[in-house]
Amino acid sequence: MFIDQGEHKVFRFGQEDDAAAEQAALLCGGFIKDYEEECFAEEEVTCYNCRYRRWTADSFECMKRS
Amino acid sequence: MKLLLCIDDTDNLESIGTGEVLENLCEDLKERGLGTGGFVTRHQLYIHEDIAYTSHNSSMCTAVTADDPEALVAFSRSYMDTSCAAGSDPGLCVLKLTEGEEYLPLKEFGQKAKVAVVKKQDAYDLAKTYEGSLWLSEHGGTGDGVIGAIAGIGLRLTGMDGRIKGKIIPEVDGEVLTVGEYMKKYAIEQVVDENGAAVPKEDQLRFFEATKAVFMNSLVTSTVKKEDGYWVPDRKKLKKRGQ
Repeated sequence: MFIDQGEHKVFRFGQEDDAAAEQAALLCGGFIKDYEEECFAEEEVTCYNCRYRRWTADSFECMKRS
Repeated sequence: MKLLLCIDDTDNLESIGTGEVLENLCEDLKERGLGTGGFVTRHQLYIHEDIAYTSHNSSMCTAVTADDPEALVAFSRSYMDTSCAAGSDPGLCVLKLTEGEEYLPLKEFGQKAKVAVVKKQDAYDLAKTYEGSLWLSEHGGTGDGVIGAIAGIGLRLTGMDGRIKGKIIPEVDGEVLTVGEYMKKYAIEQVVDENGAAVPKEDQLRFFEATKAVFMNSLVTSTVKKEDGYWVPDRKKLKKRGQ
């Protein structure tokens, strides 16, 4: 679900694919919910609401260190 | 007198968020009798690879009532020096509001910072034009947070940007009340439909899921839609980061 770009992994499905972002977070195990004011998705567990996602112009990159 | 206080880039991946830093600062200001803050608005800024934001590039702003702006600024500056996260690039901006002033350059700067990369020097140049009523300062790291801090002030001044920090949660799940009762109970200043039109206060509203307020017409605003004959607060969160 992510494109490996060296230090960072970029989410392949952009900012509007709720199902993919939810699935990615459920598979990850490293999800931590971001501050309330930074959560935009309706799903409780989703990369879109994760503390470790860093928004980019078209998608987000995952900042979680494995 | 009324002031606007805005901060940006105070956090890292492990720290508390910038909104919480602002709320904590307001608590300390109140305890010391230096000012009383209101609700906090979140303002989304431009997402671009040339901007070194932590993860969202948003700034947090509040209105403060205070008697001595210089004492407020001095305390806020020292608070920022000691309360921001390691590796952050914090900025603080305080504006003393003047009745009748339109603040067009500030508003334009805020709008520009949503769609383009702006430089720290641009922020300081703008600050100079409000000398005596605007205080802009950096508090560690690169200090690039001054850009978001002054941009957040400009966006707050437009009265048409950002979401209010915090959720509005129904006291009783599924409660039915008039729009007027809903406004009073949940401290909402304006209720509008999906087209932005005001909803009559005597209309019936059903409230069964947490919602968020937005900042519209300089008011705490709840957006609603019609479902089964009742107005219902918009449950769908604003998906786009830019809203």
